[in-house]
This record gives sequence, structure tokens and C-alpha cells, in this order.
Amino acid sequence: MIATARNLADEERELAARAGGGDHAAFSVLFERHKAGIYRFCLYMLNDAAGAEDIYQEVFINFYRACREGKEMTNVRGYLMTAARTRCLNALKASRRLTSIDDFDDAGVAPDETLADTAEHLRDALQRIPPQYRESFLLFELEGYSYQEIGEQLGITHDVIKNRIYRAKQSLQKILRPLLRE
Amino acid sequence: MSIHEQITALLDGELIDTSSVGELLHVLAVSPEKRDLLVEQLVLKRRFAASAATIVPPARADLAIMGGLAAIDAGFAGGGAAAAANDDALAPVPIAPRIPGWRMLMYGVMTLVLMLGAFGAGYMLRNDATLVNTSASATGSPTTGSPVDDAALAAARDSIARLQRAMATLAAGQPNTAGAVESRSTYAPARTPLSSESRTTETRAAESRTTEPRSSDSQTSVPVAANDRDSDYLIPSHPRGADGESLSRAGRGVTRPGRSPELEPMTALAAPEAGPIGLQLGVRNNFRLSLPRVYGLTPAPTVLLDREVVGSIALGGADDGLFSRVRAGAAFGQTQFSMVFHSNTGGEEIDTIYEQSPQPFYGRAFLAPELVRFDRFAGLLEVGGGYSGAGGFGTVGFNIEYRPLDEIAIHAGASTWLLWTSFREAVDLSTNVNAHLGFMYGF
Repeated sequence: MIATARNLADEERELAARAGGGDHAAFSVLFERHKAGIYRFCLYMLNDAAGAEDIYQEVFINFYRACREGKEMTNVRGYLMTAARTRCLNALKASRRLTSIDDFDDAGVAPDETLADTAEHLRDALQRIPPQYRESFLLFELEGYSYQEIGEQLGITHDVIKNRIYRAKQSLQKILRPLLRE
Repeated sequence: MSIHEQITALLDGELIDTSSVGELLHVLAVSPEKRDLLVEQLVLKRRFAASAATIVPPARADLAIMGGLAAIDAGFAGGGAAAAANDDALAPVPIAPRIPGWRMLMYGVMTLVLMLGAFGAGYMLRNDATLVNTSASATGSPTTGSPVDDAALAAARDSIARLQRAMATLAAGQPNTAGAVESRSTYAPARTPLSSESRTTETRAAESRTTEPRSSDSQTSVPVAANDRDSDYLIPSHPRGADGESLSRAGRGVTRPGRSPELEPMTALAAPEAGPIGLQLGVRNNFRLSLPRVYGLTPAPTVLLDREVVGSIALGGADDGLFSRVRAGAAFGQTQFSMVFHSNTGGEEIDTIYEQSPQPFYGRAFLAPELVRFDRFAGLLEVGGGYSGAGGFGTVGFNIEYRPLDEIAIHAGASTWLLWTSFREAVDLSTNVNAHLGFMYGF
């Protein structure tokens, strides 16, 4: 499995290098492999389809440009996710939707009874928890990053990640309890 | 760990201790409520996974991306100025340390001015008594008041010096008899003719068992200083006779009652004498504001966060002087810093990421010169630095100390901690602004 992961990383590095030479086919392989995860992450972070779409496009356009400029891509997935994360956090900050965890109290949150769709409930619940919890939860649960990988990407320790993910799950469980017990 | 945390750890593969796993499974087996928590977490995972699988990027976005590739290729293929300009604008650039803007510089200058002002005020206050004590012995004009005839002033000083010598002689054991008084009139040819006011002074001196030997052939050792500069006597700024006449007219000696050299000089403005406390140990609680503000801050899980154990020792003695009261100290505690990272995704400004550091332990040392002291209050400057799990940092602050008892000190103040961090070739400054409250015990 380690050998497979290493092979995958080498393969992606090679593809990025070829994309840097103008090889659209190589870029397409990387694009198809990672596009769903990037768009999904952006959508869950912002809960705004238009905003997610804009960031999604920016991320891949800039990735191709960086390849053409000769930047070595040692970790394509990490590069793309970091770019998406940065832009999402700045978009939230710009729209003043970044609130401090100090002000967050999950004791009072409750599911929105007007939402009929399960997917809407889930996205709404994610918006009710702080972005720092949200991103850690998304990276771990949906994108399959390990605690170590999340730590390397966010520059935080294992214990902090563990605490964030725990707090995210605890809050989501409280918010979504009626839905989870159906 | 709570049961909820254990379930999360189990499902995330973080619960690696087999005994803990066994214990948790047993708890889940016997408790329906706790099993419900496990089921909820499993359902949560499944629901999110199912929802995520239905999310696909819109086709128009994919087309826009592929179409954008051609535009980028054209820019590179065109070469020349266009491509170069594009490269310059978009090429990844190393992030240099930020130069503070004018606003930051202004705050820094104001802070420095305030600190220097406090420092200067403390210095001036500490030396005020010395200025008062030495003002009388300055040659030439007095420190305040109208100009006085130098000759008259010198005459006044001579009179006082004679009185001092007389009192010193008396203190040494010589009797005060009428003969001695007569001898004064006989053996003091150089005496200045005395007015009635001066005689009054002399009578008082006699009553206080003084004699007035001839200044020229006095056999008595004079304990006073050889010159007026070291005199303990205070000459008023307006040397006058008892009736208020100016010396410049009367040429008389100062009618201020003479004082024995053994008497304490007036030191009304001297600072209360308080010996320095040696070793002090205590605790301090910091009320911290980390800058830049980071949203999504993880609450402090430990009781040690923002608390420190601090000790200090006095370096100087009780001598008067600018740095005579300096303390050196050290502290150990736990804190947290906000940090700024720049991820290099193309050199754009939006690549800034704000993060909260873990909660590192730190050790720091400081020097604390005392700027001002009044009664049981003291104001100290604290300057130092330290090292933490997040890196090295500098500290500067101010501390107000109150000693209800000599051994006990309660202090409060504020400080700024400055942490320089680097991440992926970028260097940034993080700042913790602390207000603190503490208690120390001296040995």
C-alpha cells in the first residue's frame, strides 16, 4: 500500500511535469482525478454553489499556470486542496461568515425544520459549526485524509486535529440528531 | 476521554490500546444509550458519504477550465513582453518579512516615548531629594529667588561654618561658660560685627552649648566638611535676617538656628528607604489577546494555559542611583500564538492562511529595572525573551507592584510578546498582548 501511494505520487509528479510542457492530456488525467473532491470541499465549506464554482475554476487554472511556469509538484493533491482551502477561508472572511469558536455554543443549535432534503440538512448543519472544525471534518471524513496529512497541510498538531474533528462530530450529532434517529 | 470521544477515536482508528477498546466495547454492549451514540456516528458517516457521492462539478465549470488552458498556452507561446509580464505577475515569489507600515511605526514610537517618559519621570523623582540637598551648597546664586550679593552669601556661609565648628566642639565635651563667651569676644578678632539679630542667634547657640573659637587658630577638629559644598545646612533661597532683611543690605549671617552636625539633615522629599527583596517566587495569570485574530479558535483544554510560575532576584543593593533597583527573573508556563502562513499557490495575496498554534510550553527570562517607587508601590519595566515550542520570542512590558507586607507582592501589568515564525520560506510576526495579575512571596 505504501508502494502504491508512492507510485501514485510519482505518477502525479510526472503528469504535472508533462502538463507543464503543455500536455493537456496529462493535465486532464490529474483534473479528472481530483475535480470532484475539490468542488465538493468548496461547496461544503461555502454552501454557495456559485462561490464554490468560482473557486473551483481558479484552483485548476492556477494549478495549470503553475505547472507551465515550471513549479515542481511534489504533492498535487495537497497543492490543490491547500489552494481551495485558502480561497474558501478568505471568501468566508470576506463575507463575514467566519465566526470565532469562542462564540460557538452547540447547546442551542437545532436542525432547520424547513429543509426537506437530507443533503440540504447536512450542508446546513456544516454551516452551523465553525470553519476550522468544518474543514478538518471534511478533509478527514469526505476526502480521506489522515490525521497526519491534515496536520502537515494545516500546520497543526495531531492533538489539535483530533480535538477539532471530535468537536465537529459532536456538534453535528447534536444538530442532526432527529435526522440520524429516523 | 468521554464516551463520545472514545467512540470517535474508535471509529477514526485512533483508539489503539486494546484494553481501552475492550472496555469501550463492553460499555457499549451493556448500555443502550451509549450504543445510540455509536449508531448516530455511524449514520452520520454514512449520510455524509452518500451525500458527497451525489455532488459533481457543473459541466460549464469544467468547460471553462479547459478553455482557460488554451489562453494560458497562448500567453506562454506568444513569448516576449506578454509572457514575461504574465510570469512576473503570477510567478511564485518568496514572501519577505513584512516591513511595518507607518501606523505600526507610529504606535511603536508612541510606546517608546511613553516608556522613556515614565523612565525619565522615575529618574527625576528619585533624584529630587539629592537636588534639594545640594541646592544650598551651590556656589553663586541660590537655586530660586532673586539674585543675592555673593559677598553677603559668602559671609552667611562663614557664619554658619563657625556655628558648626562651635557645636562640634561642644559635642566633643567643652563646657559652655561665661568665660567661654568672654573668650569669644576676646579671641575672635575676625568676627563679623554682629547685629542684634545675629546676637540672638549667638545666644541661642550659647544656650545650645556652643562656643565660637577663633576661626584662624581653632584647635578643635572640625567635623564638618572643609567647604560649603558638603554642608548639611540648608541655606534658604532668600537668605534674610530674622526681621526679614536681605543679607545684601545687612551683611549679616543667616539667622537660621544652628544645627548640630549630628542632627539629621532635612530630607523631606527623600524616598522611603526600603531594602531590596532577594528571591521572590510566585505565580502569574495572563489575560491574552493573540494577534492576528484567528477565527475558529480551539478552546483551551488545559488549566495551565496562560499561567506561569515566575521567580526573580534583586541584582542591586539599596544604594541610590539609576539602576540600583534591578531585578532579574525567569518564568515557565504555557501559552498560545496566532500565526500567519503563506502557502505558495501562485504568489497571490489570498494565499495567506491564519492559524492557531498548538499550546506550547515556554521558558522566558527578563530584566526588570525599577522606574519609580512610592511608599509600597513600585513600577518596573520588564524586558526579556524566551523560547517556546512555537519558536523564540521577545517580551517587553510594564509591571506595577504593591507590597502590603515586605515579603508579599501583588503585581499587575501588561506586556507584549513578539514571535517571529517561518513557514515555507515565509517569515511573519505574531503578537500576544497580555495583561497580567500575579502574586509573589519574597525570601
